[in-house]
Amino acid sequence: MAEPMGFYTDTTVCIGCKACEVACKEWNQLPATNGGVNTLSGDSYDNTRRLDGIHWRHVKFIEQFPEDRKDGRWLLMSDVCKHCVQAACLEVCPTNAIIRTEFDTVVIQSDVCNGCRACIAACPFGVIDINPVSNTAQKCTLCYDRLQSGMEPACSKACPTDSIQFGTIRELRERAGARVQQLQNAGEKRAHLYGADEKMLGGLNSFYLLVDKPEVYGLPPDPKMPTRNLVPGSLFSILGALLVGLIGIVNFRRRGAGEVKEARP
Amino acid sequence: MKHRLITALTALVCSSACSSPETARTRGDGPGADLGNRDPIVRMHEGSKPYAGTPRLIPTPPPPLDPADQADRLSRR
Repeated sequence: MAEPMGFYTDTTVCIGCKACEVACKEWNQLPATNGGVNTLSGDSYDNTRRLDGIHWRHVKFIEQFPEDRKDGRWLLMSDVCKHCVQAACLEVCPTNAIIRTEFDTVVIQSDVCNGCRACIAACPFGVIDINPVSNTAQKCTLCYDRLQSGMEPACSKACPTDSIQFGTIRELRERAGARVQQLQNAGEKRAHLYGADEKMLGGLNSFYLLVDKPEVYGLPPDPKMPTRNLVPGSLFSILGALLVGLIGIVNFRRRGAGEVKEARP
Repeated sequence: MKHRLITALTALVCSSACSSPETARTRGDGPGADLGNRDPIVRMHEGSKPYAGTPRLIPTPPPPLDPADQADRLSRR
């Protein structure tokens, strides 16, 4: 297996140009609009709004402004599939359409997917959605076809500020650690890495440098695998079955006793 | 009877303790729950074409890779 590859996204240098979104769509032949219909968000400069079947990259605009609009803050973050080391989508896929590649990335095979949507519910980050053209679940492939040819993914290649960086996870973690240190030394004490270590789903192969709580960026602070409920769920099921069986036995015993009493003269 | 009961209870506890290979997976630690791909180099069906198998309204040949090559040559890296 090749060395695990991934993205490190430094949100502090993202300028929200959406070049990554365009590059992603261009390379993967995704439509610019859903069936030719342009939908404006109406409350934000961000008009693509979310990751879905035709947006495999999405630059989030977190626009924090007070009522008087005198002061404000923009947080920009290019969001993508996290290519989790412990992938919830892969775990639940009933057709084995979701595979793990030699680069440790997670890819959906469109021709194997039956569109059951189990992965959509399982993904703790809300990354996967149905592509309306193919009617199958789709998401970022980390440009698997480009990786196989020794090329960099389209989004990181197009990023003008190097907010999205591509490389081996080992190298990216070193780079990210140095940047956090630099920001903290400069006074940005809230700078931290999201998903770089193994605590979160074994590690995210696409991790982020954030300068606020993950919730502010719409990221779950503690994502979980769907199988976390397997053991307690199984035990409660067994307990429930035993209880129902016991109730049945008790009821039938009572009914039997009543029948015997009625039969007596 | 006692032996059977113990066996049944053990089987119940063991079955309830089953977990996915994904839950214990570490970085670069093989295919995990991806049961169909054990080879070191994964072979995808149809490459990574998002519209593989989807009927097209207008049959078109695959796009040329020249623009990508050009971008690669002109890019800063």
